[in-house]
Amino acid sequence: MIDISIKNISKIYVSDFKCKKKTAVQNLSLEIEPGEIFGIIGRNGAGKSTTLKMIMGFITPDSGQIFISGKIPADPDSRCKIGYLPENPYFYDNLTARELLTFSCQASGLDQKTSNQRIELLLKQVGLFAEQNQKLRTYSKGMTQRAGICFALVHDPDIVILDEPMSGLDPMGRKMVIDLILDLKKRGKTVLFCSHILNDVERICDRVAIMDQANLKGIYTKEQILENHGMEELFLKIVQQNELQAK
Amino acid sequence: MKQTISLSCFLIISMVSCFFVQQNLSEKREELLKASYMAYTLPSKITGVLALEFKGIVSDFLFLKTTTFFGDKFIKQESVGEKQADYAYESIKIVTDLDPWFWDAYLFADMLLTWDFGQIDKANELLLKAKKNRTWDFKPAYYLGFNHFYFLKDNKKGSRFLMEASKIPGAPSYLTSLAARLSMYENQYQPAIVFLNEILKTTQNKGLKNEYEKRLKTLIIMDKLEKNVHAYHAAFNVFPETLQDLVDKGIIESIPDDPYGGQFVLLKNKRVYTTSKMIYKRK
Amino acid sequence: MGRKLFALIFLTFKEGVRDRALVGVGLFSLAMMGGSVMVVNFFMRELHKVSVDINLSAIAFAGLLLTFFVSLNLMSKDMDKHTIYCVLSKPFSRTQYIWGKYLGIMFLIFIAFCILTLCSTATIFFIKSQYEVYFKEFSWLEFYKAIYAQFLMFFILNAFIVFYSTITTSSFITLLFSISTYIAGQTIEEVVLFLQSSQAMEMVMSKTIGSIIGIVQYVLPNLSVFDLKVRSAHALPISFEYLSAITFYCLIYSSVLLISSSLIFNRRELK
Repeated sequence: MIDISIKNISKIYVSDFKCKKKTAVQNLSLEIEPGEIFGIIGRNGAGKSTTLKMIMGFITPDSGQIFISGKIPADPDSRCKIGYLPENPYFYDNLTARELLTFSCQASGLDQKTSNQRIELLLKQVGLFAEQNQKLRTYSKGMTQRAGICFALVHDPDIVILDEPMSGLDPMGRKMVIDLILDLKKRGKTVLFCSHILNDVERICDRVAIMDQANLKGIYTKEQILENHGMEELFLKIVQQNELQAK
Repeated sequence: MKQTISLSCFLIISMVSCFFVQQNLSEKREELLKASYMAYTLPSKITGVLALEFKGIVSDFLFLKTTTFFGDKFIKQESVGEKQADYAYESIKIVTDLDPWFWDAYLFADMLLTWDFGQIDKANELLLKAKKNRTWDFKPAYYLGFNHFYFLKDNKKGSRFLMEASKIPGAPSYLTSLAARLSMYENQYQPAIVFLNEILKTTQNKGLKNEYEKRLKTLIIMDKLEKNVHAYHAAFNVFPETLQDLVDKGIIESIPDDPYGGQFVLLKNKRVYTTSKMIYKRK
Repeated sequence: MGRKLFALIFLTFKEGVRDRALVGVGLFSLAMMGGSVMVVNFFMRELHKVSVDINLSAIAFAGLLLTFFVSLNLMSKDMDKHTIYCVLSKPFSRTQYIWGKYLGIMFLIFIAFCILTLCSTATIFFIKSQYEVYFKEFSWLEFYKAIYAQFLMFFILNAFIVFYSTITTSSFITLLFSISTYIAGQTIEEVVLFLQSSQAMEMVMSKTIGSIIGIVQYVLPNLSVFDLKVRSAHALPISFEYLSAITFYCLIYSSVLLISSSLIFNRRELK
């Protein structure tokens, strides 16, 4: 069983007034297997976030299909076992972290006892336990990011989708996120995330997809990356190639 | 620290000057308002639409504005004329368009238009509107009856309205007999005294209350004087020529003063009236 | 399923109830009700009418402020600031999202109405005890009927807020649209009555204008049917048939709006 399968999806954004078209994703196909950590890297505007949002069902692709454990994104049940962290997460101002997480658990159908345990465990892991009853309005950027990670993980999902999980975090926070992801892998969960920070991607991913200008440029395993002298080399090579082709 | 102190000083200075400026402004504003009081009205087609779902409270506000306008005029004893009568009529018409059941407004307009401006037709028009809407209420017909008796001298219509009023549930039982009595007491002040007493019991506005009380006092004096005239007639078999005759024959000690500043006179039809016409000598 | 939806309703309610605008709304309406105690002194006889007028208007105004500030915020900000992701990344369908949000907002307004009703009852009770003589034409039942009808109006108005937030991308446009709808809904009846009057008949009205008004009359909500304030101020009885008629009207109209919102929202891209 494949966890996430993406077949030939394309998406073109049409801006409101001028009818200007911009291709966000073009003919993308991906398959992510259970238990693997899959990273998507690419420059700003390469289509990473759009891809993730299409998996979540926020955006519908113009063509192509997406299946999550065999279900299409339009089916709410497809999100039963998914945890999602949006890019630059922003939550309800007037709620506390605890209330937000309780909502996450209730919405996913966890019973009260397990959810309380999970909430406490995760709050301690990300270091927000002391601030759990503060309103989210008072949180700093890094704290909001941590709360967002808790929100994505609290209901113990099988598939975790993280959009820029490291942004806004200090080095300690980044280490914490890496530890969390590795812990998820240990427990057999699937992780799909996108990032700019190549080092982190290199360290934890089983496979990496490189996207540029709405196109998938290739999927590389850990070994292939090593053969190409590391992630940074490889990424620069591909991007430069692409630019040469464009000329 | 230094900045805080100097800022606080400025604050105190500006607060004090704000007080004076405001006083000056309110003086200037008063002058301006005196020169052109906002005795305007918006047609109810517009007011009604603008009031949205707040027609009730808007009618309260407009009514309050009208009553304070006239209450103020009475307290200051300023002159009121045709223009003000039109304002009262128009504004109450709008108030009662917004809330067609607003009895306070109808009664206020009735009192003002009949006693102060003598525009009985307009008063009756509003009362008829009240009668149409307040179907459960005897008062509109009751006041219509009074207006016909007292101001229009139309006894037939007057008793018809009173009879109509007496048939409405909740009407006081004395109405039927009052209707009969009033038609007998034709051309007398008695009915007015009865009506005014009724109204005074429930009036709160200070200016209006004073006005009504003064009017009642005058009516009582005139009623008494007329009774004296009749006593004179009973005693001497002729009517007196002037009120002074009553004093001369010792029926009364002296001619009482008119609270409105006029003089009581005996008319040719042997009725007592006053030169002030029960309207205050306006400045 | 039920529990999930309740979680969303409760989330919406909690977020709304802590909005700081609520304090302002509360203080304003309490001040207005307190003010009614003083203002009635300026009137002559119909103190019951004036106090009911002021109290019902205070409730209506507070409801409007709540709708245009708090519930509009709850809907539009959700899309503007992408807080919606945290709901939709959970197993909620778009339709469930619309209904959950709407019911959460209505729950908030219901609680607000309960509190305001209590306060106004206390105010009127106080005025009544002061001026018992002037309260002969007053009826608690009619007073509460008017509050009930007022509450029904907010079902429709908030359904419009939800509807407009699903079709527009900016909260300002939603505000503009919903305020216009409110004003149009409150005045449409009078406009139509005027046009049907003899006065207007004399004017030559083109057929197109007539049919346009006919269509508008059907599309726009007639919000003035929920305004029983003046009648209740005079304790004029409202029949239960009328109340059930407006209840059905409100339920059907709001459902139509919410179903169309769900349909539109199902297709909406959340960039």
